[in-house]
Amino acid sequence: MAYEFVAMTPEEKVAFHRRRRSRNFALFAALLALVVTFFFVAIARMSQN
Amino acid sequence: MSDTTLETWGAAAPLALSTSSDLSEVGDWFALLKPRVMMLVVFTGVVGMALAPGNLHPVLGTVAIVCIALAAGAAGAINMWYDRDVDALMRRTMRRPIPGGRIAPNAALCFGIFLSIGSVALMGLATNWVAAVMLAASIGFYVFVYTMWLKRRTPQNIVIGGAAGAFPPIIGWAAVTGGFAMPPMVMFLIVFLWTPPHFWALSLYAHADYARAGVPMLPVVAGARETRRQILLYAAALVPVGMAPWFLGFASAWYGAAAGVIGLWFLHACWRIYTDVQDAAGRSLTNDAPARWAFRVSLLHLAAIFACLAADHWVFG
Repeated sequence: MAYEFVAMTPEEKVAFHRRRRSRNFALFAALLALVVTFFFVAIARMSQN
Repeated sequence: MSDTTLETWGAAAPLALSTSSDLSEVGDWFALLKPRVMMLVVFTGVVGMALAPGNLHPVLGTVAIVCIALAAGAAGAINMWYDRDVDALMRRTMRRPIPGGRIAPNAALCFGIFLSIGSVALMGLATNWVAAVMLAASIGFYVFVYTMWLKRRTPQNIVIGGAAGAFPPIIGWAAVTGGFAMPPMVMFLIVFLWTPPHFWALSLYAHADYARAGVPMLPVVAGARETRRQILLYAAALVPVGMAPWFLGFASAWYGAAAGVIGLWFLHACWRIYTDVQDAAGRSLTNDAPARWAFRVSLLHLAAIFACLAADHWVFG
């Protein structure tokens, strides 16, 4: 991937970190939801059988 | 999601590398899933599940609904990846995350593929593989048949491609029963016939966008007058098809009456499009106000038909 280097002002840097933090939280929430989903699907499938 | 690296080249010159995903908010990734389209798709899938005979564990039912939503979103994300050049030319879509430069095209494609595989696998594990195969087929139909093959080639794109959006009731039914039957096929037919007038109403007032992007929507290729006629024909056909669950005996006469009224309401909205004040070339002189109204009515029409089906099932069993 080609990267374009740009200088960031302090405000842009704050916004950059904020965006990255919120994306990371969303990814964490999605992974957690996946784990919880697999757990409950397994329990439900076993209870059905 | 993020493929960025923050580099500091000395305290005096803090530098960051910038890729598209640097600019993306969580909301941009959500927007890739076309959430407004997803809502109606999920609703028809839920009704398909509700009408199906048999019991599905509530957890598995919920997971099946989430899978339908994720699959619809995945297909939307891949569609946005493929159509990024067209989207950039259309006023309605130019602010989407990819043409807006906030998400890199390849990242969107990977996101869509990952969600596609994940939703199909989860559907198979949670319910059955018939539902999973149908889910995969709906994604494949939307991506390969509609997006890549038909959309830029024929004004019938939305007629055939509309089948992709009609799959969810069949998938919902299959998730519960593991098979097919007449009721989900009729629900499929309702959505299938509803899709062309819904999109053609939109394309009537967005035809300049489609013309600029070179997408051969019916108003661009055949003109506004022919589009109005086609909209009316489809809306007329939709009235008896909407009532078909009553004719075929899996809904009560109450549903039949409600569906008839709802269908006639949509037909009236489409009649207003047909009789819109036009110039000699068929262009609307009312800024396509009837088409805008019919587009909104179409959304309510489909939601109301499926809500009536579900209510009828719960009340009259």
